[in-house]
Amino acid sequence: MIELLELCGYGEQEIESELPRVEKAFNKLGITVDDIERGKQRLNKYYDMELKGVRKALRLILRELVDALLVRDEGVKNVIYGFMAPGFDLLSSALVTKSKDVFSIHHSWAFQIFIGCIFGKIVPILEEAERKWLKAGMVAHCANLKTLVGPLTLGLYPKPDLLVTTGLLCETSPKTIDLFHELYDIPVWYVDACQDRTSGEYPEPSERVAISAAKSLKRLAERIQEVVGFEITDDMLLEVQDAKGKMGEAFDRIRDLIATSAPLPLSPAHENIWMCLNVLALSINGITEATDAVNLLYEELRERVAKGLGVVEKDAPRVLATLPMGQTDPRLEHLACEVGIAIVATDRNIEASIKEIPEDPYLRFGIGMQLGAMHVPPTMRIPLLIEGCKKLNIDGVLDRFHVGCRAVAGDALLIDNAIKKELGIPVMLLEWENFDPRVYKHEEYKKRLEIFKTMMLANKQK
Amino acid sequence: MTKVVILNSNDDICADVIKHTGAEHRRLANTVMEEALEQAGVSFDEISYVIATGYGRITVPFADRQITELTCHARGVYHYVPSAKLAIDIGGQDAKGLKMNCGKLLDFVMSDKCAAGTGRFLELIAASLDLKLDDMGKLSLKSTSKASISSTCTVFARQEVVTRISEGVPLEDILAGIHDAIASRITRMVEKLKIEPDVVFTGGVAKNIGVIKSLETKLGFKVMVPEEPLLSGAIGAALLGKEITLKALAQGKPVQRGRRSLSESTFFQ
Amino acid sequence: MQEERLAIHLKERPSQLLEAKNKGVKIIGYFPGNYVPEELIYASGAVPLCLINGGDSKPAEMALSVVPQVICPFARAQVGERLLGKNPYYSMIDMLVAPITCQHLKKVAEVWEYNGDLEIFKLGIPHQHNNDFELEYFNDRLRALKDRLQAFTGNEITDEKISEAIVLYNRMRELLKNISLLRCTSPSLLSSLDFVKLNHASFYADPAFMVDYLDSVYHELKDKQQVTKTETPKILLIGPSIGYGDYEVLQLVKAAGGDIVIEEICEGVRYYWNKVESKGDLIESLAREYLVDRVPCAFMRYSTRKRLDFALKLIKDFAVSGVIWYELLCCETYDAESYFFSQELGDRNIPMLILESDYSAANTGQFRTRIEAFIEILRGVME
Repeated sequence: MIELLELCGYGEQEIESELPRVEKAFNKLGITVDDIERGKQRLNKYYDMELKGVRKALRLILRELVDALLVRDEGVKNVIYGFMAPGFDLLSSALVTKSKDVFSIHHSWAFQIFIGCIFGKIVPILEEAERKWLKAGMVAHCANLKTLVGPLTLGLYPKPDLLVTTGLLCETSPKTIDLFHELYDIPVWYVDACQDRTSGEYPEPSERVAISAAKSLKRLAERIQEVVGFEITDDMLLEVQDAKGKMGEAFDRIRDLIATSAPLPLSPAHENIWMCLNVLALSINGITEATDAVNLLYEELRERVAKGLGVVEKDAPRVLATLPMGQTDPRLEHLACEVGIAIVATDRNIEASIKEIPEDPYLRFGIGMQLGAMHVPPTMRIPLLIEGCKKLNIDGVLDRFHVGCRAVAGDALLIDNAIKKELGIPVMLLEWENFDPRVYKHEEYKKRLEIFKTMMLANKQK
Repeated sequence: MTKVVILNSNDDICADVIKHTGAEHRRLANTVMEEALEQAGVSFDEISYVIATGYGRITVPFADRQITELTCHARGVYHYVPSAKLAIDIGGQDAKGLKMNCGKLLDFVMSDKCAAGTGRFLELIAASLDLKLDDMGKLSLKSTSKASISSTCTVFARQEVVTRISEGVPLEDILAGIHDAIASRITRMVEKLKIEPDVVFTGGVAKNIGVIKSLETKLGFKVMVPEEPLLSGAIGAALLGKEITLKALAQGKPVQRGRRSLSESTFFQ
Repeated sequence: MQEERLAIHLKERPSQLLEAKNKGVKIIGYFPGNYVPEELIYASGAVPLCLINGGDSKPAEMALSVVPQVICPFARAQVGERLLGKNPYYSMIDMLVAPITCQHLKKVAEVWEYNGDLEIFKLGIPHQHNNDFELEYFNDRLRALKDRLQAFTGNEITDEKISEAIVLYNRMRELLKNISLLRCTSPSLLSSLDFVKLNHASFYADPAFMVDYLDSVYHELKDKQQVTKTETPKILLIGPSIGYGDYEVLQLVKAAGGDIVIEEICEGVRYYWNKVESKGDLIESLAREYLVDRVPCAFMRYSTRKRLDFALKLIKDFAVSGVIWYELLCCETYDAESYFFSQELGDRNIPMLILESDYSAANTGQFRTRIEAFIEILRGVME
């Protein structure tokens, strides 16, 4: 256990003070000595534990997981969860910065990384959710949501005082949250904005959508205030947004470095880790810690790039892989490196941007949420992809389209056709469930990625 | 499989026939009926009522009525185990869970869209391993460490089996893993019906002791398997036919029969 | 005699519409779900045409070259119909008013927007309306739709025209409701299949003709009405949409000896149960009725309990003994809700059968067995 905590960046003194809590949390999860052994092996196999930045990031993630499991035992007054709720992360950071009486988490990402990627024990959680209302198989519901339902219905996560989601990304989450309300008596709240952006409203954000999203988020803030008993002021939010802005810049720097360096300095399995930092409900101090971790990682990678070190060959084909990446299982990303493909970019590298940032924090959110490259109609998504592939010298697109996410998976064939037609580069469509390790078929994926690599190399020679 | 059961008024089985169905439902229905009549030593005219059930129930020309195999199985299982609350039937092509009380069907779940978790699945695995289907159960009991077969899809499960063989995993462990996969799948399916004892296991796959044991492990209690697990549907159908006839007689009403006799049906081939 | 009248009208309708189109009338398609006010389209002088084909696997499969299988078969059928180009309605529309409701129909609108060969107006439907700004948003979007329709058709949409349209469509709904209610006491009067076909016809036929036709049908049926005692189990059908042509389940239930006495589907009860109350601003009246006052579809927030309560009321009022839940594969909202319903109905000892369709022909045998077994449960095998 101590070794594991060291691998996860815990300092000596910290290990001493935190060990009892970690053990208590792991007992709740049923983590055995074998699991911990396996966890260490998997950490060393799939992640670059030499990088201190990675360890520091893991530390923040594990801390949140442990806190979440022990929160009621430790007598925290108000627990607020968010799931698939852009905008909520801003409010929750403001909350925990202000008061120790409030605990918040957004997403089950920390759970997914540790129980899934590291211990390899996520399947029983998924099966628990499948005993409820989320299906497996061909009509699979998003397993992301299963990692919220499972822990809640198994009693691993304590019942929150408020459960928040949005309809900005999907319908499965809000419906699930409605069922939590009806079946388990959990108070719920929704942030919504119509997804009716239309021709003429891309890629510049639509003002009416921004305003309605802003109003909806403000209503959420008011509702949260009723629970916690204090106000979330605009200044608090702006402070969080500024801190997160710096963290976002740090992410951008790493992404740019990776996208422009050959050989690929870092396995794409790590993207899961630093993206998780973005959704942790960290206080301002925590966000600063996270930013430092990312900056440290950046420096470490720069050193590697300067030395010409990398995880695939220098002339490995350059691939843009669509998100989400494997969040409960790093094997596909690891396999890509083994096969000799350099995943240099994802949808995050190709997002739209705006020149003027609004001063009002809610409007800032309403505008910002429209700049992503994923949950937008193909009329916006595809040109962004094409432009991005050109700018980044991409040799092929790996569309690991997540079938559980109807909004995003629906574009897969359009992307396939458009990229091939406009850019003449190979596209590998991988029907995928990014949160479910059971879909991974080693032999089959190895074959397909090898074919993909061959196609890209042959195309480059033309 | 096509099965026929003839019952007498004491509910004793005077004839039972089980044959592979093949493509010709109509013709086979006549053939097995004739064989059953011969076995029972009666003529078709002496049969009071005929109920057809199962997939081919609409192609039994001499039937008086068609009732789904779900209702018939529940009745047949009750005949064997009056205290049955849940019946699990895994046949060649489908798997069913029947929630029942006193022989009456209350609710059901069915899996009939693919081969996974059915007798067909076991047939394919047996073929892959060059084994006889009937030997698989006993062989699997020798396992000390069952292999983990994660795929729910037949095609991928077969691939996993092949991989395990190449890794040198003992045959009995692989079989134990396969049986465990079937048991897991069926348990997940019937959980929706709220499992409570007594649970009866029928169908061709219920002859596989390995699957029985896996199922009992998953459920946490023993399941009952009738002597001839393939006949509960046919027996249930016959018993329901008897009840329909007796009820009509008790009410002084004529028994509604079908229009075709057996010989007529043969004529119309 | 009556049915022939309707059949002839529907047969001639495409050529009638094409003729109107040639004279400059706009044909404006929209998706079902109950959230697009046809009144507005009608008031602009255009012809509102509901794109509602379903049941046939061919268009749904055709669409697999454009969207993956995880998009529901109804949505794929819309894409496929336009690709196939055989259905005149799908080729003749000049504009699509796309309600942004669930992810699947939203994707169809986005695909057609990407193709760029059709005018599209995306009508954002707020998924909740507890806050004032949400209804306000819908008001604004309806006003924007009105402006767009005016510009597109070249006709002014006056309050008078909207009023007339509201009166006409209210009357249509009232007639559909009254006809449907006849089935409450005399299910044998009109089968579910015949009623659904009648309802579907109302989406294609000329509204004025349809009102007249429904009126005569209502009077004809009312005269025939008699309260009969029957052993046939009465069933409530719940689901998202029954496409035009997706009648297999209805036929199988009837053949198995059950009577669906009422349908709680998008273009069923939720469509015709209420009337638009014209109070004050007409756009706001429409917005209120379409967004707030109706029983919501499953994708709406806080809809689960409301929908259960409504179903329980129908079960009581129509003396229903069992529920058939008919949904399309991959429909994530109805799927989740079916769990809740099965728990709640199970607690109340109301049997429920869940059927899922992907429109493939292979469904028939599987549906038949399940439906027959369900009817056997409801009626007891002894009858």
